[in-house]
Amino acid sequence: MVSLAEETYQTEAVPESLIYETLNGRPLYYRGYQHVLANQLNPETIVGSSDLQSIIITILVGTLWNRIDRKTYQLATNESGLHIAIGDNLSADVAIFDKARLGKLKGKYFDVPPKIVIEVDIKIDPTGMGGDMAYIAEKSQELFNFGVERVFWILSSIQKIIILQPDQDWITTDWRNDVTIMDGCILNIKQLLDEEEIAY
Amino acid sequence: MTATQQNEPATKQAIPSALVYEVLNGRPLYYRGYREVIERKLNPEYVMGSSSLQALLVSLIYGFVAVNRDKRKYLPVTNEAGVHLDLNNNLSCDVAIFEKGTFDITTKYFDVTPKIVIEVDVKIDLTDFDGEEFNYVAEKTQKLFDFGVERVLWVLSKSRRVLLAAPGQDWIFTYWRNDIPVMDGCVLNVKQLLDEEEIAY
Repeated sequence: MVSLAEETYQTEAVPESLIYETLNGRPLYYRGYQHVLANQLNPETIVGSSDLQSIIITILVGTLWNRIDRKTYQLATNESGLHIAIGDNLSADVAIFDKARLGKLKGKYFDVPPKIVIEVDIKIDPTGMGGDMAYIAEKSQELFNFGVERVFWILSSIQKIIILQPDQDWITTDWRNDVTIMDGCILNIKQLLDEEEIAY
Repeated sequence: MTATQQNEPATKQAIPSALVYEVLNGRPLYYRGYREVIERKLNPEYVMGSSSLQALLVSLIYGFVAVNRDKRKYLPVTNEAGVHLDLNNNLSCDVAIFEKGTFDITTKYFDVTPKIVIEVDVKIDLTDFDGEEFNYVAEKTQKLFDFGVERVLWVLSKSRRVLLAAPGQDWIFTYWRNDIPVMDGCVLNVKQLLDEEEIAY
């Protein structure tokens, strides 16, 4: 019901630069895009990450770099574009690829599935999707359909991590707990933030 | 976060108390759609009711629990049972299961903690939660645990899943076609309940 007023925005009027990803043919806009439209702001006022989001991603990448077997696996970050199908282009905050599957890079979106995807917070406006949990469910399912084996969502506002695997129950755990990212690679988000003396 | 800025000045003082759904950690939480009620000068009744699916789910789950419980021990209540936890927390429960002998019946809100709470979907406006259901679900669940609730279930119709939470444990999200333990002898299967009633959704 709350979305009634919001639905009156014409989809055509939303500039492409406000699209974060397209999921099952639907464009998903950056959180706050309506504020940009209503106040005629530049998209740059919202497309950046929050301070905590970008620091968590930085620490994740820095830590994973030294903990994964880099001969076998390739780490990627910076909203890696995953071209899943026509009308299906998803963004991954952190992705771990099997090097053997990656092959020669083409200077385009990845068209092979990463083994593991780690998302930090939600950057889209989930209203049209039926809310944040429906978005997490649908995007994760789409990643699984593509071939991803494990998806993590780190949610900083509630300091929890959701761990998802195909056809299994999701587990939500506090980020002070150890989480196994892959064989031989266990992360503890709270500990990593504490070690860097990040106050949040 | 930015999305909400323009809505913020919708002067909180001007919001009639009839639009408050519950009070969580001192914050009044309004019915989803309350802003439209204010802007279009509608009656609060316009947004206060449940959706048909939500109402059906609550009815079926309540009925199931009422039949499949230890009648000597437990009493389930429904209809957005008001639970007065303390001055800053008046929560609403779709289905709350109390232990018999722990409370007196009065004409006021329950002031003892239920043992188990079952929620169906989110009815509040999420502006205070950065627009995210999960922020609200996490905070309300934690508040119920703080006051002694032993198990909280959230039935989420959009994703057809159930969140199963217990204090100090990892939370499990499972499809609602799976069996979900509510309490001894009472195992809920939401899909089966809907199918048995031949409800298309």
